[in-house]
Amino acid sequence: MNPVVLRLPDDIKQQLELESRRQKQSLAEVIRRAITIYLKEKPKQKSAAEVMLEWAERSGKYKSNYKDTDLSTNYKQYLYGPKSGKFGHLWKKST
Amino acid sequence: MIFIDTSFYIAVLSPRDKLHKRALMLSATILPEDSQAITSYGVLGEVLTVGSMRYNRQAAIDFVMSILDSKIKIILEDQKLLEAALAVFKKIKDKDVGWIDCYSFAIIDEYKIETALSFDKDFKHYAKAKVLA
Repeated sequence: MNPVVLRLPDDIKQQLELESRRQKQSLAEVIRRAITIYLKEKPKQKSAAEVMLEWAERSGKYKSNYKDTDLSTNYKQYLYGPKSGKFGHLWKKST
Repeated sequence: MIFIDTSFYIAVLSPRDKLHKRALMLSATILPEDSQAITSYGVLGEVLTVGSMRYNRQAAIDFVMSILDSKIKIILEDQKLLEAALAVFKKIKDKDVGWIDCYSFAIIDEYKIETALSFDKDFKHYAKAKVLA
């Protein structure tokens, strides 16, 4: 085990000391247990699929004045303006 | 590992988008729980900007926040990737292929990513990965 130095607010330190006396365990042991419980109960990060599928359920609550149905394929035109008529690979293919 | 591009995120973001359902279907089938999804801050910047301009600013922010809170790995810019992206940019003669795309192609090369989710024709043309759309 490696030593870690941390600063705690007085009230949390007092609660940990109280817990240490109650449990008849060292302060370090109480803190180790508290951290272990936190890490176990911490909400699990969502996967990419969960993020996308959950968004689909949430997205209905947002209103939009735009009716675009082509944003995914034409977003570059909105961001950067129309494509070059001459030098794009699509132009090259068509000639 | 799977790279996720701007066009795919935008299709998910906007329920009106013609590829919205397709993107959700791909999310359910191609992105299993244990797959590592990767993206870049540049891509998320585009999602924020175009989402704000053409859909709903708060929705774009909330969507990107949920991506940042997830297991999706966001690749930070570093010197090596910047140089690789610049090399890709110099190599591609098509003047419509932008910097963010070139940065994505460099990430795909560097991390040896085999699959990408994108509806962008430029991406399909230039990315050295199997592009699912």
